[in-house]
Amino acid sequence: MTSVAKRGPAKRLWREIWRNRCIYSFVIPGVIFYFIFRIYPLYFMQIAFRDFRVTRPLQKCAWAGFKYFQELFTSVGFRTALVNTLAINFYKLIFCFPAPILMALLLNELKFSAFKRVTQTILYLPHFVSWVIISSILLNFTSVYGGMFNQIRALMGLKPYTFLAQKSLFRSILVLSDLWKETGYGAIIYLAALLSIDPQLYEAAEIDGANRFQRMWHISLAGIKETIVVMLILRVGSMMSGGFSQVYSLMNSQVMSVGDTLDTFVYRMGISNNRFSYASAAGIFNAVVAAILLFSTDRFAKRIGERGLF
Amino acid sequence: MKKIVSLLLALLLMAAAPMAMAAEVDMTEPMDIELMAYFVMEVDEKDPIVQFINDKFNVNLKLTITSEANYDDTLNMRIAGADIPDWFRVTDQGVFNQLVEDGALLNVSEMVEKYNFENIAAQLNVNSKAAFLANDGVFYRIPDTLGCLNRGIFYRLDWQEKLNLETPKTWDEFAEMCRAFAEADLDGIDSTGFTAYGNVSGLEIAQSSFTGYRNWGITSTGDYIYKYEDDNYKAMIEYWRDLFAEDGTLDPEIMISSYTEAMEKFCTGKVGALMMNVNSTWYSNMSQTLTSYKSDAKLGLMMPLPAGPAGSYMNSYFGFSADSAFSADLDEAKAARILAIFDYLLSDEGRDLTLYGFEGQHHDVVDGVKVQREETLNTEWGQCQHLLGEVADFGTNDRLITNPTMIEWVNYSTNPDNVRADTLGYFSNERADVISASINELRTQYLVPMITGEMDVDAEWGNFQKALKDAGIDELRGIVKEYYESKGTTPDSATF
Repeated sequence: MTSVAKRGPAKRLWREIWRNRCIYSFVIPGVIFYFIFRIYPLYFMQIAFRDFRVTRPLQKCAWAGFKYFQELFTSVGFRTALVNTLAINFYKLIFCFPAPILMALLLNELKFSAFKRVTQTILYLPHFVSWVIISSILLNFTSVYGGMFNQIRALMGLKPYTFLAQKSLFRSILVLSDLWKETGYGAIIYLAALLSIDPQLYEAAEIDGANRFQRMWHISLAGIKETIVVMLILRVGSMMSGGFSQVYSLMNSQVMSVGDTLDTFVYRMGISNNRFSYASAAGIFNAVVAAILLFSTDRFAKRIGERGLF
Repeated sequence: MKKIVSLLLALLLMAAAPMAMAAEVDMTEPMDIELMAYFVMEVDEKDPIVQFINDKFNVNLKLTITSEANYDDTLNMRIAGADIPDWFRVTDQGVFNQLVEDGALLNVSEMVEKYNFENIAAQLNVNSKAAFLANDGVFYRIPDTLGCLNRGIFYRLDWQEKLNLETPKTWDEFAEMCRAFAEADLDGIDSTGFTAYGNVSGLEIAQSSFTGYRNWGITSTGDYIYKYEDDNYKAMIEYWRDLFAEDGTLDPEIMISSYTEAMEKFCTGKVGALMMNVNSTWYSNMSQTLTSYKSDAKLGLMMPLPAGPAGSYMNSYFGFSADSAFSADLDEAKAARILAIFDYLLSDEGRDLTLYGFEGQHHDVVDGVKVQREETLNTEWGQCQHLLGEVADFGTNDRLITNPTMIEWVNYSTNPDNVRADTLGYFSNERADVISASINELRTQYLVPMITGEMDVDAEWGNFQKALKDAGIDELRGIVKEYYESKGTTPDSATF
């Protein structure tokens, strides 16, 4: 007992790893991946604080302090992009986050396994279609020159309508297209969580006279609550980013005031103009706000009695 | 007599001196040369023209080809990794200036003089050559001309003929023609009058006709004025706003169309007129696609462009494509070999090679005239010119023009009296780039809703002007003025 206490946590951890080295060796590729693609790039965060130019080694680029952060915050269009980012992600949180849970619960109720498998596969498929293709499909469907939606309007005696150029519709189009594309794929993790629920609970509830909805509510949903909370925390943590491909491929100049997000703004103002320090400053700003959101949600989850992430 | 002969001999020797002093390019040692470029197709290193160059110059050309969209990122990564290609195309003026400042590029002027590369020297003597010179008066790149490529207006000539319409001479007459196209709906598919691509920049085809200059003009008091500050530019916005408000005159998707979508609409009868790039390739593609849609459809190309309050002017490109630059790390022998290849590509024989390739393989001779093979253009080159031809001088493809309309276009679009060129095409300055980016944002924020009628032009024009001031238009004016003065010219001169 005394000798274990004397060893210290680091030594104990090392002994534990050495004892189970075969199992721990499986972690090595992941560790290497994270070191190369996540940890090592942190060194280059200093680009945001230097007058970086691709023609010079990083160490020879002069320090610029917070110049690029100041420039970012005072840029034409930054405030609009920030508000749009939060608004679009908020709508997605409200509508797109619960959808896979609902779909998983519904799929879980299907008893005919062959039908269930086929349905699941069909629902996963849109995830593998790129946003560029989806935007082309949408452009064709909504075209004023014979697009399906406008043909339906014509049958009703209505004039053609440029759906994708309407500010009032653009965020709804983003949410709906995201729902169509990602709901099926997003349900996988909840379906996996549902599989871990003991079937005896359902049998017992059935004997006790619980109807389908009650079983779904009190057993299925309650059984995957922890997974939902973890996914919610991660989702809130990614509210400052995500959806670049979707917004970039669907956005046009007529809806920019409601659709331009920080990702597309930084791409246009920073990366497209080879202003890497500016783009890095925006990246750091995004990361800091995302971290605040992540930790706040985690703390909130713990406060209401959930386990949280950390 | 002896004195006269001696004098003549001396003069002859003096005249021949530069030639005699020109250094020879040593071809004895084989060497690898990397060329990095963007191109429409992947070019195999076993390509017969590449092989021909390899054999002729005792080199092994290693090609790094990307798509145009990925080129800047790929090149920047190479530069950031201190791995500058031997020979590469320049697309970003900001990065180019930084490379010059950091001494990373080959001094082309010095090499051309030392080795007497006559064809390169001629290419360096292009119009607007001041724009290519670095601040130290040296060429660090070789200009790549665009030829007759410019934005023009294609239209349905068959519709015009059936409706007995005159070719529009003014923008008001142009609007009348678009209205007539939409009302007549000759293909019976609810066609609209006109479309373009590129949002406001597409509609700026009318801009020089309204303002009389391309981007910066000079007022009667001698001050520099930016187009967005000009009341004539405001008049152009009002012109397009009025057309947008009409049902069917202007494509309602004009702000959201890409150039391929705009072209598809024109070539399938959905619109009667189209703002689009014009050169021989585009003209021939457009003509073929249109007639494959409808056999009796005829393609018209508007010349001159309709006149506005300032006259009839083409809102021209700068006239140059992606130039070639070379790494300063090259040893002199390698640099000389690359420039020797370049000099050859700019010769008549070299230009001919990259336009027609080899007889029986890339072209046939019909009635004594070389005719490119379709399969070469479609499956090997992807366009009317071989990669090495585009890299050396894209404008060479003007030599292919035989169509009378296109010959007329070349004469029209290359006449400086008809053109208002963007002489700032190669200008880049860190601060100016920041301000310009902000101004581009304001263009989307203000001008797009003004044209679509969402924003009242009169009520918001003052706010737009204030936003321009806040974004630094006055500072930009100072920078631009300084630049033009350093080049000894003004924005209203047709060339440098």
